Amino acid sequence: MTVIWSQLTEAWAGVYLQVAATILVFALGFPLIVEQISISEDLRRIVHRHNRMVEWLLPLLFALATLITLCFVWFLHPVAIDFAKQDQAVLNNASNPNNNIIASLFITLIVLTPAIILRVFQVSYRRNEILSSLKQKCDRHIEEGFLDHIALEDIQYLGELGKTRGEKIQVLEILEQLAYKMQTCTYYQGKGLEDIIKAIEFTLQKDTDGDSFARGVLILQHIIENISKSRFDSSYDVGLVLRTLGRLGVIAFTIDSERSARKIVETIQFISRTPDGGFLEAALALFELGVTALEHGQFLVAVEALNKLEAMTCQKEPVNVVNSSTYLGLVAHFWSRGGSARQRALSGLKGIKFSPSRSKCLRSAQQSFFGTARFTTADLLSKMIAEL
Amino acid sequence: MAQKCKVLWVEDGARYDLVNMAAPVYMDGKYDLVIAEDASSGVDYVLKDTFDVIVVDIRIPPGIDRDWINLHKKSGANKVSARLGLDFLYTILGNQNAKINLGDKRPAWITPTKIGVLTVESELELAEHLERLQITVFYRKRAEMPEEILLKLIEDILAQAKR
Repeated sequence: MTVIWSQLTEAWAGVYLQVAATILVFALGFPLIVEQISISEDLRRIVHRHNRMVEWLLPLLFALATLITLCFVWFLHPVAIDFAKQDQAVLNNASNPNNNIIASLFITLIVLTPAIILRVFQVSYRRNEILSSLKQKCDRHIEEGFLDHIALEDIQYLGELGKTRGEKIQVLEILEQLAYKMQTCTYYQGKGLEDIIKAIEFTLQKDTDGDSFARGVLILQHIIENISKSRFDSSYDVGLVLRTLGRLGVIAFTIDSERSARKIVETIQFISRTPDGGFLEAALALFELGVTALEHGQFLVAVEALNKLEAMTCQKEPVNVVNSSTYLGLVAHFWSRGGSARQRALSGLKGIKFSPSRSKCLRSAQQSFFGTARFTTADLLSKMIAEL
Repeated sequence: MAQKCKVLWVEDGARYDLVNMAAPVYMDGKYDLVIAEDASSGVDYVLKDTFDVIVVDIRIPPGIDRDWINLHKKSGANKVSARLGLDFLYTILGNQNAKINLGDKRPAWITPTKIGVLTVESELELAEHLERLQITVFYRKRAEMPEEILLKLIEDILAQAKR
């Protein structure tokens, strides 16, 4: 038998090109397709921002595919032709037992690649793992004295786009832990939770589930409880939580309305009882909630808000023009409804001592609502002043 | 109609959490309130326009300008620790401590008497900087903060500028 070294002919080059292209398309396309189909957009975005393993996955696969192709050409190109059987090309792997092993390894690698990719995705894209890694980043920075805003923004993003109750609660729990960690640091002086509070609000904004909503409200309450324990001279975060609760109260009516809204009313009053409780912010939050409840025909919630606001206002007796303004605004909304609502508003109004007088407080309240562009309330107060 | 006083408010929560503070200013009718939500846009505004009053928050994000983003990163990439509002003030006042220098572009109309600070930090925390910057009008954000606080601050700055 005569043996000569075979040439890399045009036909063979064509075959190799085809094989190389197939491997590359497979190596690059497969992970992308798997990622697109099986991973939600929110997780994909976060992982690409933070996970270096996934970031390097595509270039790595590209390099791997090139290497495999080169190996394939190197080992499996037919190096010999038997002239006795010219019509049959004798492949290397048929004449060399070592190449059988290489060919087997090559095929195994091809089969294993999807499995490896799937495993990398499973680990990298697990919501728990992502959140836990983001929390760790935040924790490290909190220990150094500040928040990692990029990691926190991503936690907020996952909370906002969380679809199920479990996903929302998972994010809320992490935010609660971060808030607690911040508050127990020695440098915390009643301010600095702005971004965590905002993240809680954004997580709850698109919520459709009463349970996760209630959980978020409870976390805000815990934040205040922790502030109260520390007795700061002034806490900006208290006002921030109260304003947030006011906005959440309005959103609550789009979920299961009554239960969530009443929870917020209770929380606001609880906060107003704490030593740092911001009376003005609490009053305004109850006002917004009471008015929204009236608009939605949720009279029980509306009366509860009015009742709490009355209780808070009574504590300031004799109530001056500043402290009575928001309460009188809510009374005006009840008054304008007529009938039972007006009756309820009047009974409360009669029991409060105003300073210098009720009429002066009413006029001042009208001016105050006009001055803050709350025209509906200002107009209702004007009508009430004229009729009383 | 008399020309309105132009007020620049550099505050990232101006369109979100503190939106109610702007209402009394709009209602007063005497002021043309312009809001910049970060340092980059704040600088952009002062370079393009003239203001009678500038109110600055200390904890502001960098915005889109590369210099401010780099400064933010160098200072810990955190608006609380970076306190870019202070750097913004040093920059627009052309102070020697400015980390970002506007050079010849710095508008001459900006003086410390036209500036006030409205922030979460206490006056004590910022005392050294405020002294260097010669800024005297300072209000602290806190619980029990009336919605008219921004309007009052603006009036205080204008009263100071007239003196």
